[in-house]
Order: sequence, then C-alpha cells, then structure tokens
Amino acid sequence: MNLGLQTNEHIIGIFRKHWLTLAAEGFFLVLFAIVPFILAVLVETFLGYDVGKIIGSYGTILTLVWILILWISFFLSWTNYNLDMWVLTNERLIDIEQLGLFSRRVSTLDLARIQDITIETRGLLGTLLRTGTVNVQTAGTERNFTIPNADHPTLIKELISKEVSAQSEQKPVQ
Amino acid sequence: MDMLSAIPSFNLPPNLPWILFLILVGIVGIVSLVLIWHWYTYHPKKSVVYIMTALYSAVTVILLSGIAQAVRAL
Repeated sequence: MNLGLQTNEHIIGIFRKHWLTLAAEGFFLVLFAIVPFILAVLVETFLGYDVGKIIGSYGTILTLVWILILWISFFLSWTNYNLDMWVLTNERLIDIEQLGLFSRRVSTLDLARIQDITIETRGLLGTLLRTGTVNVQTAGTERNFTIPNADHPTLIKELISKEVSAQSEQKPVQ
Repeated sequence: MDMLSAIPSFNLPPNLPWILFLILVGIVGIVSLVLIWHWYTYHPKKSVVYIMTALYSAVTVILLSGIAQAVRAL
C-alpha cells in the first residue's frame, strides 16, 4: 500500500468500519444462497413434485451459478470493507474511500487543521458492540471527515486527539 | 400456407452449453483478477491477502468445476 508517506512520517493506526457491517452483508448473502434449496424443499413438500427429476442438470447449473455470483459478491463486499479505511500518521489523517471496484477517493488532512472530534454511539447494539460514528471537524470550509459505523470510536478519538496534541506541541502556533 | 411454417426453424449448436460455460469462466476470471489485483495493491497486510486469495480461488475453482460437471451431464 503506497500512501506517499513523507520522511519522518509513520503510521500510528489503521481504522475501519465495525466488522458487523461486513457480517451483516455476509448473513444476507448466505440467506440468498439457501433460497433455491428452500424453494426445492417447499415444492417437494407441498406440491409433491420431484424437483431433482424436473430441473435435472439445468437446475444444478443455475444453482451453482447463483452461489458463484453470491460468493464473488461477498468478496466484493470484503474488498470494500477492507480497503475503505482511515490511516492515522504522526502528521496526517488519510481517508481512503473505496467507492467501487474502479472508484477510489483518497483525502488527507493535516493534524494541525483538526479543530474538534466528536463520536456518536446510537442504540443498544452500538453501545454493546462499541460501534459509532467518528466526525472530525476541520478549520474553515473544508469538508469534515466522517467514518460511519467505526470500530471502537472512543479509541480512535483518543488516538487522534493524542496525535493532534503531540503535533501542536511540536509546532506551536506562532 | 400455415403461418407457423413460414417461421424459419433453427437448431441451437450442440456445444452451446460449453460456449456459455467458457463465457462464464472468462467473466469470473476477469472479475477475480481485478479483485485480487486490488487486494495486492491496496491491502496493508499481505498475510491476510494470501489467505483470502487461497480461499477465494479454491472455492471458485470448486464451483466452476461443479458447473462443468453439470454441463457435461446435459
């Protein structure tokens, strides 16, 4: 991964969305995968047809192609989940957004420009699983950095705050 | 003259399922190459990439060989 780090710049942490966002997508794909089998059982049970005899090899082919499509879809989701990240260095915050297989946006923010960091945790699941939204507000009219459904938002806030403090100590405002 | 007899009849080529299978293999191959290229280019942990590549490739090959066997059984 080439982030174009400057000399004396090193990575402090890499943050991603909570793993539950990927697990939820995986759960729905598994549900979709078993749909043909559930349909076959229902038809056999309630209509009395021998599904295997009726659809034969064509049914097997369609089912396998369906599972193959879902399998590849899961890895597309996994790619999105893994490559959509925030990288905190001792100099900058880098927001990498994987918008699709051929679309990617990388924005950087100097730590010195950070004004405020807020975290928002909602609901029982958010509290129990320690997931929430981290919002980094910047000076001026620049866009804010937001990571939705972040894993351990409190930890992310602490790490960024620590680095911002260290940065302001190194380069005091004139 | 019967209207239906005016419609020209045509036979599907006997190897059509294999042609469709090869098209499927081509599409899956291109998507897989793009996916794996993304992992090797952008993912920070190479060990994770090796494991996921092995898992993805193995299951994809198993599914494609299952489809090939079903096509052969037609």
